[in-house]
Amino acid sequence: MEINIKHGDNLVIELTGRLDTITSTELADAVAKETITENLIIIDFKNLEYISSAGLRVLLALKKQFSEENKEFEIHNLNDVIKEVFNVTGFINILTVK
Amino acid sequence: MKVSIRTKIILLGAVLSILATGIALLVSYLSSKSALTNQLDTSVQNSMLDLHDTFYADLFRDDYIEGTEAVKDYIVGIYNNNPDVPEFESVEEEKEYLTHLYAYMYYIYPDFKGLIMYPGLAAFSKQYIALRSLLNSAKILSGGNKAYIAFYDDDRDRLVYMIDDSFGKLEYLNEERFPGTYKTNMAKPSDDSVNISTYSTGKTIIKSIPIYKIYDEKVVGDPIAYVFLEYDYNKTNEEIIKTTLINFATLGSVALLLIILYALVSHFLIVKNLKKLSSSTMEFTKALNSGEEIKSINPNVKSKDEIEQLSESFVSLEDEIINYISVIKEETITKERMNAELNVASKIQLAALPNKQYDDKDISVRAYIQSAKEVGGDFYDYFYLDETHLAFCICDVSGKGVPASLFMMRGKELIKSKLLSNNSIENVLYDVNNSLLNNNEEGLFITAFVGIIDLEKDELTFVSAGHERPFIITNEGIEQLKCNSNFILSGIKDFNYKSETIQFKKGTTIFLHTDGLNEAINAQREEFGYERILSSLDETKNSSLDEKITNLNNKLKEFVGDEEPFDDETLLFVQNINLELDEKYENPGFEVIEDYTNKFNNMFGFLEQKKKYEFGIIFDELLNNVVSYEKADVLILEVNAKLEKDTIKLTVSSNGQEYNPLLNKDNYIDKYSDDLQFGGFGVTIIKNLVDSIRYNRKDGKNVLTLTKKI
Repeated sequence: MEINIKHGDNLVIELTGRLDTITSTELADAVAKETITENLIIIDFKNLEYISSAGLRVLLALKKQFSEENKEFEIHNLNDVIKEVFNVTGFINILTVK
Repeated sequence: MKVSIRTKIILLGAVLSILATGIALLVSYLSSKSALTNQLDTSVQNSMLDLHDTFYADLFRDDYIEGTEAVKDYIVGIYNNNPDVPEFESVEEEKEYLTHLYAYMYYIYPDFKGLIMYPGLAAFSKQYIALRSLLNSAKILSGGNKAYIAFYDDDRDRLVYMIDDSFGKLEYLNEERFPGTYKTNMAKPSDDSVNISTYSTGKTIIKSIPIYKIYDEKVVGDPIAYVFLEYDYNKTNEEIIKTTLINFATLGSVALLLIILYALVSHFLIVKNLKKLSSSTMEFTKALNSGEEIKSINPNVKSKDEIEQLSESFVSLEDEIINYISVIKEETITKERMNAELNVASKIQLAALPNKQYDDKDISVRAYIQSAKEVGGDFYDYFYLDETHLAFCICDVSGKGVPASLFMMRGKELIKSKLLSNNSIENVLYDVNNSLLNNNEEGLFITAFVGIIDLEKDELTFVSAGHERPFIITNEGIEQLKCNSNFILSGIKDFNYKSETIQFKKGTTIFLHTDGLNEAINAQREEFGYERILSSLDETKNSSLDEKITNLNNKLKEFVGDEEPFDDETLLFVQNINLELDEKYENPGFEVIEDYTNKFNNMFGFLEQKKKYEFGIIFDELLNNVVSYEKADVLILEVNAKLEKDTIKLTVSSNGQEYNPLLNKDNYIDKYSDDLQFGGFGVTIIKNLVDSIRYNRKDGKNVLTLTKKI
């Protein structure tokens, strides 16, 4: 998976590939390394193929972290497969999806 | 180094004028020498004749002749006492001798008055002076340099000097020609006073006349003495040189003027015109190189000579070049247009062929085609006749290029349309053969291999119409198909093609090619041949169809080297696929998830993207569970995915501790809270993605069996 982090008005994290068992830890590590001053964090799924439960675990952890820091957290551009995963697990209820 | 024509002309002119001047000088020298010599001769001759007349004239006869006689008697007196002039060993000795001689004369003639006259001659000084004046005037008149009188001593063959032309000087002292001295190397002069004797020593010319005694108006006795006149050639030479120098100066100046004139004239006649030609040529070349439209440039030389001719030739050469350039331009445009058209034709032809890759759940096709020219005569085709019958063919039209390509399009459409009309291959080829034979004056023909795969019976029915035998690749090995070779298409009217049927199990591949492969030759004129095809296929027996093609082409390229391909080359792989991915991992790590996912995507490449992603999620969840939680001394993970009709059946078995993930409660979050716990989502997701899922503990293994429609 490729992770491309862009600072600016908002923090944009672009993911390319699969967010699964192996790559989810890469995402967690990459975000942990960043000094985040922005108030809105966007993860862009435009080029993400699919996400497994391991990926969901990282997203929940990030949600918790940003909630504690009073930061907004959004996920953009979900494909059908990912939307379905979000629906059946209820993640659609706790994450801001656009 | 470049030397201008003008310089060359001037140099040539200079050389020629120097040569001409030289020749003129030589001629002038020789002619003036001869003229002056003749002039001298004549003048000496005349002087001698004058002398002769003078001696015998009545008025002075006594003075001269008697004077001569008296001087001779006197000299003889001295001479006889001293007939031999001693050889002097020094100048002092010589002077002493002469002093003695003069003293002797002084003794005889005591009235000697000075050096002007020899003392001993005083007695006949009148005659002596007259003779001397006569000699002197003869010398001056003749232009000579010496005049003297001598008598000849017959006894001793000598000429003995008596008197000379000099006044006041003892110059004979230096000349050894004072009275009484003698000369032995001169022959006796002629006694004929009319035929004057002439001596020539090379440096001097000497003439002499005899002096006789006259009695009663007649000559008597032998000559008393002889008068000599000498002329020095050197004097003549000096004059000649002087004349020559004057001539040289004159001729040289004239030559110089001529050179200048010659250079000017040649400049106007030649150099100027050549320059015009040269600058026109340069201007024309510049215009040529500029790429702009060019007109011929006329040097305008009007010299009415070869240069004008050259100038005219130059203009017509320019016209030729301009004409030639426009012809080349037109030809280039035509050629470019033809190339462009051929390119389009090539694209149209390739577009007429089906994709080089095709995959569905039953069939995999890979094709490769390379024409030797822009358009070719090879083609391949494949298409479904119905859901369970795939037809394919590979064909090679005789010849290459445009004719072959047009015939190929005709053959391809005929075969396809007739096969689609649900005819047997035998009937199709019978009709195609007869159709192609109509209006085929070029005598083109096609070799073809046409086959139909029955996917239900797993059989292959085919006809080879004179085509290369294909290779059959199975798990058991690779072999060239043994088959009947029917006659070529468009060969014999009404030929009955006989089809054959063989088993064509799932997992079997047929490899077809045209002779552009096996008959490709290298620099040693060897053919690529079947053995090399077989060995390449063997090297890639476990590899994908793409790798089989790549390997074949690499081997071929390696073999032929830089040789230009002379024939079209077409490769066609058709596989009756057996879609089952069975993998076994020992002590697996997380990397097996990606490994299996990639292999699955490869084998089931025909699946739509969404399905591939869903299977990706399923593999991640299932295999993650096994790798993360199950333990065994040697953990064995076996994953099998198999296509059964429109369903993929997935079996995951592992020998870890008993674990049934289906017992986990489904998890679903409906709202966010800070103490939200994570877990159970994997099973929820899988259940949602599959059509069925079952767990068994069997032979110490956890076995999960899932099915998912595709």
